Amino acid sequence: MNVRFCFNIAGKFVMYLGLLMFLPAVCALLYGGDDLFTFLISALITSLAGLALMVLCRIPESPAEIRRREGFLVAALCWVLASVFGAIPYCIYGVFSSPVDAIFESTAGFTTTGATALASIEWLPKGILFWRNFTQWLGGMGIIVLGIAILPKLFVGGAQLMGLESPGPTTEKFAPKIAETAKKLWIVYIALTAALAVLLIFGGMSFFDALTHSFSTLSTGGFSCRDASIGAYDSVYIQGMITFFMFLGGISFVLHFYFFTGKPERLLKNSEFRFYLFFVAAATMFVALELLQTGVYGTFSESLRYASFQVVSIITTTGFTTTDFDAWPAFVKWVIFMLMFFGACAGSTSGSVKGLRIMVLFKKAHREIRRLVYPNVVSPITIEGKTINEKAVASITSFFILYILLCGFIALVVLMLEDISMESAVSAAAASITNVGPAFDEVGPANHYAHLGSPTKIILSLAMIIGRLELYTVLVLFMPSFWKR
Amino acid sequence: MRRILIIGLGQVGNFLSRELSKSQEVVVIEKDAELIAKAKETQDVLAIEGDGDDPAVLRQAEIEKADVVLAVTGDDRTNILASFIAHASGVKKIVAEVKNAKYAEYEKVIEDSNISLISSSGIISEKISALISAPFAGRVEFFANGQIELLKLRVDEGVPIIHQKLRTFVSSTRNWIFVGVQREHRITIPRGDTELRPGDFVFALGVPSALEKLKKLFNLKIQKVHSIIIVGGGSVGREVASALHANGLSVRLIESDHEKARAAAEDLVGVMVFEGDGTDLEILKEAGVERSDYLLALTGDDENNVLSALLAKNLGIDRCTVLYSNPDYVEVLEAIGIDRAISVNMAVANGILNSLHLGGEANVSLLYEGAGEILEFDVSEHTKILGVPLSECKMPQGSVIGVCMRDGKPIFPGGDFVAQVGDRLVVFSLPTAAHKVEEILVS
Repeated sequence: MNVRFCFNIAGKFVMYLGLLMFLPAVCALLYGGDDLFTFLISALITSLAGLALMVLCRIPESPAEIRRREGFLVAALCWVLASVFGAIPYCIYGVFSSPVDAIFESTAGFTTTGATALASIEWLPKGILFWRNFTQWLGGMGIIVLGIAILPKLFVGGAQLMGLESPGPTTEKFAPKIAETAKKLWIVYIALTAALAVLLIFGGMSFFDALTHSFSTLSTGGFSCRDASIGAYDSVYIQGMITFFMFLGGISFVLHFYFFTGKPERLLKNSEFRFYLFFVAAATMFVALELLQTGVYGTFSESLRYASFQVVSIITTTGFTTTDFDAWPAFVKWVIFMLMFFGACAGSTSGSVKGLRIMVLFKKAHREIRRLVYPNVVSPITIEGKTINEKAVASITSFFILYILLCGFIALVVLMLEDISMESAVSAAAASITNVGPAFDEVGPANHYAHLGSPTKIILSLAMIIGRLELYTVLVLFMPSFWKR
Repeated sequence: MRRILIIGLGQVGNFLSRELSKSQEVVVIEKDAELIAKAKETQDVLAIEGDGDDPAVLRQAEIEKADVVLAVTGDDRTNILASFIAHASGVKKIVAEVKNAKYAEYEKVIEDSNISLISSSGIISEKISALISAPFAGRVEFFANGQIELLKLRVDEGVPIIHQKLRTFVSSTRNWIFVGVQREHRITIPRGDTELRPGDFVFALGVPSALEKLKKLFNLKIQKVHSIIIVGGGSVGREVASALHANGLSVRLIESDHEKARAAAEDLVGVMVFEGDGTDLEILKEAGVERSDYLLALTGDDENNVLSALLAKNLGIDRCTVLYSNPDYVEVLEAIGIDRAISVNMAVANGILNSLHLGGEANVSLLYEGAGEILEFDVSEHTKILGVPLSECKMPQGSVIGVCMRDGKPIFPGGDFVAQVGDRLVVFSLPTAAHKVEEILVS
């Protein structure tokens, strides 16, 4: 275990993160906000801190590769450091009174959770707003994947790291070189983001709003620069576009790549995509009918509009809202709560458990029940005709169990620390670990996380990172044996 | 960057993909899911699970996009079939490994094909023949068409070079250079103030005549081989036996299988064949171990090979060489007194690497399970170090330019050396630096 080496890489990473802070500085300059110096100073501090870490932990001769253990530490370090250093602009500008709030906001950014500790957003200058949504965009496709794409030499052994960061049980590499794969994924991501921005401008959004909302839509992040989220734009076109692109953000970017390079049939044949499509359609139908029946909305088309937006927003773990869904009937709220744990496709920018795992769990459950009737039946679990090996099935099962247990445990700690309703605590824990963002009741869409105490915010920030890195990468660091030689 | 498709991730395939993926795009096909998982984790390659001769799998691997196809599964027929499919898909360079030498003729089945079938027993027998004809056992590899050799020398207690700074031993005629020191299984590049200790191994690059001088420094006993005993009458054993016999050596072969022994005796006229176990003391004695100079243990079984060699050593044989395939053994074999161990898989992997001649790029040979590498480069107009004195070239740590072949004559570069177009450089490098060396020296 070469800890110095890991910190050395993390140092380089932080240095480059500092350089990225010049982008919001440009934005501040363009809009003439008073936050220009905030970003110049933040960029300087971050770059220098990265440089210092790099020099402090320099190593005589770089080891040939990152091994499995180092990979876990590097991935976790990069995310924690990004969240901490990403909070510097908020601190310097004085957005929050406490640095913990700033870190919470920054973590909710990078992990694409989209939970906010801000009671009101619109008073902030453009630079800060840009940075909030830009962190989501970086975190969506993955900050390490970005590093691999641009600086393949920095992340030696990138294949290992990318597997740890990218959402889903498997990473499908489609080019022999990991750097090439990472580059192509980012190109698709950038193209889709740009497409949405143009479409939103057509719909009458300002350039700034269109760009920042595109950032947080494709990354399935959910930060908005408006207090009322997407509800602030009362346009069927804009809400429809965002719904569609959130849906796209929930599809594996490998499939997007194939779709754009003349192999669209791969997308349609993909069983996880079909499963995802089916779930979105079914959930939208249920929610829309319930909304209509209980009289929340007068017409079916209006019910359908709000239902489809909210269902897609939650299933992709984006967390945008067009209305206060906390005021909806209990049945709908429960559907939304369940959807939080569903997540979209593996290899997308969404968080949570994800379709592939859910499919395997369903098939496994089906098999176990069938075994009661035919004790000796041989039935491998297959997806698209390919057998999933039993080790992977076992790993997925334990992932799910761990996910639920961890969620319950976090809710327990939150209830211990805060005097809030059980519904708020459970949903806050779920919304954090699944990277959704808004929850119910006291932390619902009409509310925010600002009123929670600092310890709670730290716990929830940690939950977001654990959720973003899919549990094992972070949890393994808490094993004493991990640190032994 | 070229796209290389490797079919089969056995030891040979694994060496090749590890080595080639450092500088090329590599796609691998393997049917064993565990090997696939391991490759995905440790190498930057695109790994596809499936049979190497399954057209659907080859399509998925986009075989038509590959510049080079290497078929190195354990099964000859799969390799041949895969290379035919590769040919039909228009691949320019195809190399397949065949264990059974008779299959090598398939190379000619397709006219004007670019398929080369490399017979593993052929490669090993060539290597062993070169080894035996050399007057001493430490000779390792040959480079620059055999004009340069790499010697691995053991530092024993009491040799003149021990506990001395290496700089005192710079050859006055400059016809050799120390490029590496292996101490406790780690190879490092020696510096002027490196001191040798007993038990170390030293790598020296030099012309064949350098041996005279080195002989004194290391107290080497140099003896010509006259009579030889081969244990194992499989394809390798028979090929080696017939080659050595043709060179005028007295060869005796021991084979335990009745049918194989009989067939060997019929084929190899002039070679005495004994039927029996190579680990049986009586058989070894009957074959005349005590009066022989050299024992080659070439069965397919690592443990039996080692045991035969140790028994023969105990009976007083001078030198022995064993064939092994388990890479975990390499480090202990020398420690327990085996003079030379040849890895079947390394030999084949090196043979394939060298046959690739990736354009003007490096010719790479791996040493000792990849613990060190010898890279050969041709200097062209585009080489970065052209016209720059060596002392000003930033050669990466862990590498050393050993020899430069200019107009057929070796030059041992010092700090004032300047590379010219047409030079061939032989570089010794540690695996960590090999990639950087290639970056600097490949145009």
